[in-house]
Amino acid sequence: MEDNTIRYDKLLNGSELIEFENRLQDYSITAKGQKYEEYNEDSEDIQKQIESSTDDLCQLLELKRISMSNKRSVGIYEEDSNRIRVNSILGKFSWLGYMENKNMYLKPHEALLLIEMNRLVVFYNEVIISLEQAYVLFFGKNSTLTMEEYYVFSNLSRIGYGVMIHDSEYDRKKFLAINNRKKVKKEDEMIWCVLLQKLNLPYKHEFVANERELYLKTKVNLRKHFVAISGHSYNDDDEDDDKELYQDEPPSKKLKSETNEVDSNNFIDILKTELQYISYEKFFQKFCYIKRKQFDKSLESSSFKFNFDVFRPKTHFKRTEQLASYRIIVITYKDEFPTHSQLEILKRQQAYDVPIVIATVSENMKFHYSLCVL
Amino acid sequence: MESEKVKLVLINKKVMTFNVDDYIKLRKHYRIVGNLIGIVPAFPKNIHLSHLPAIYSEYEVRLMIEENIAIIEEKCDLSKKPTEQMRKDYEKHTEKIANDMFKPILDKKLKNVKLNMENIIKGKRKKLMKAGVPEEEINITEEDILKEEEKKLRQTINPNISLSEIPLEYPFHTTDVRIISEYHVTNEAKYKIFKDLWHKNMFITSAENFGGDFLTYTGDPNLFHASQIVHIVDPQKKFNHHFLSSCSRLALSVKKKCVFAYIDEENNEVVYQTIEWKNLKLRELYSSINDQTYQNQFESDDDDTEKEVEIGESSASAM
Repeated sequence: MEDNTIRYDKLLNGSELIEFENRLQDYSITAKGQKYEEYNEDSEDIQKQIESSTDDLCQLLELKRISMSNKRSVGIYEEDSNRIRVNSILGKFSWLGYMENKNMYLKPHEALLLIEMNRLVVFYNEVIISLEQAYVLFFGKNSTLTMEEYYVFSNLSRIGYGVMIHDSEYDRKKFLAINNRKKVKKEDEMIWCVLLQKLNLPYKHEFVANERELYLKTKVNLRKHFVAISGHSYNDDDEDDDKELYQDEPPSKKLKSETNEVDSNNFIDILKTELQYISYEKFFQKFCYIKRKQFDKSLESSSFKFNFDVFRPKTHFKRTEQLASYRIIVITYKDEFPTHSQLEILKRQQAYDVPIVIATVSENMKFHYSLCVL
Repeated sequence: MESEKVKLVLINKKVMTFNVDDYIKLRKHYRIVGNLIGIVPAFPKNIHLSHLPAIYSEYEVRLMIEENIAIIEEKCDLSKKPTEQMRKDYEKHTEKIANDMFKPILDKKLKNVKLNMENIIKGKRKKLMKAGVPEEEINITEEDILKEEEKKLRQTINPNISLSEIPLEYPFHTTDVRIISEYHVTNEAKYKIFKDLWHKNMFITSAENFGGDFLTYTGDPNLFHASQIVHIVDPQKKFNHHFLSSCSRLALSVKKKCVFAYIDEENNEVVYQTIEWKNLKLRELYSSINDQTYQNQFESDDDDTEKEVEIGESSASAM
């Protein structure tokens, strides 16, 4: 037996490297023709197509990760801490990696993505890590992600999103730091709160409760602006708040607004006859609606957790200054889909509200995303 | 024979392959498709193209073991630190590659010099004339320039910078390999149906996207549309009309047949029931989605067609 640990059939020699590098450079995607409905053994055309399609697939799969050694970043696998120290960085890593003691480190899943993209080569005891070994090492005992989670991470990263593992504490601190930096005026922030409330969107309840006076003042001011801009009288559905508002307003204003209530769109004015009422009743019966379940406060924890925070693509991405655009929950097809109340719990756990996306991954890594708007 | 079997690797409970020939062999000769999940090196950001590794479902793996198509190996060496011997061998290999690559890199650079030879001679001649050398005494030959350039290049080319490869497969001999001879699946009935379909010369993939269990193809999924959506049902449970209606409607709209499969408890055999739409008009309408009138006609026919769904037991050969 040959006294060598290397299997030369699994590595390219010098001339093969040049040949495969040329193949990689010259490779272009071949257009797929129309798919057939039925298999016909006698059809020559189909047989030819099958052969050429297999050849195309072979050509694609035979592409190898070849590059000049000075055009890839180089990393060293540190088994004790299960991370990769990057010795030379080429290109921008954007949201990938973190600094510690002036060294750049990558988490295993980040390194695997870069290896797969032919941007990084990792050495373990000065021996190159093949893709197969990377899968074993990085999805082994101390893996940070499951394979399903990695594929969601890889897919979103390649589309262009910034993807980071969700860390609620870090998220909260970042949110507070950004808000402090912005130094938004109380008055300005209250305008947003009133507008968001009007649209039934989430707003800062605590802030509004603490600044009740400012809230009422802002609401009155906004009404004035509304009347000035539109020329119509203001029509508010929020009765409770209205009562509070009127209590604070001078009596003259109160009277004025009460007399202004005649509106042609009001049901009371239209539904005067029994016939009219019946036609309206019939119309409303046609609607199907699902009643929104009340949030059960007794449920405090959910078995689901956020896996990733996703950031919209940006040319100058700074992880300390950008807030997440979506949060991802990764589940498999065998798991049960989260219920409304479970999602509600997760929604309330967030430092700031963003849409939740559920990525459902099948056993052989096919997946789809569902966007949940609560 | 043992040597003809395909070798697949078990990584973290998933069965995968990193070998091109094995993948093609399984796909072409055994109709086992798996799913390619890797990134294509030429187009790393293209999410519509995929590359090795390929991953196989639990039903595919069980079938490959039972039919003696493949061996599943767990390579324990891969999680261990490379030995000193491996380090030395790899170092030797990289040195050899660097030496092998030196000649082609030098040749490539000299080829560029040859291509620009005329301009180089002109330039040198001009330079010498400017320096005051009379024109008759200037004697520059191509050979001299090539020799001079080669000498320069030999000093400047860094042998450590050459083409390098990140191998797909583990490029060392393995000593600690565990062979997996038994593989359990979560749903035995589903496996039995999968196996039966495979023996009917079909390509099978999962049908999560269509709300079913399997999609079956008469030819390679790269070239052929799936022809059936197979739903596995429990004969013990009552059949739900809503389920029947939604399955058959969905299958019609994607031009496939809706098949219900179950295990007959009396003779332990797989039974298939195919649902077909009798209303030809509607079937045509569904298949010509581009037709402008589609929407209107569909709505007017809607109420009648629900009654025309025909359920009939089909024999295995009819599938």
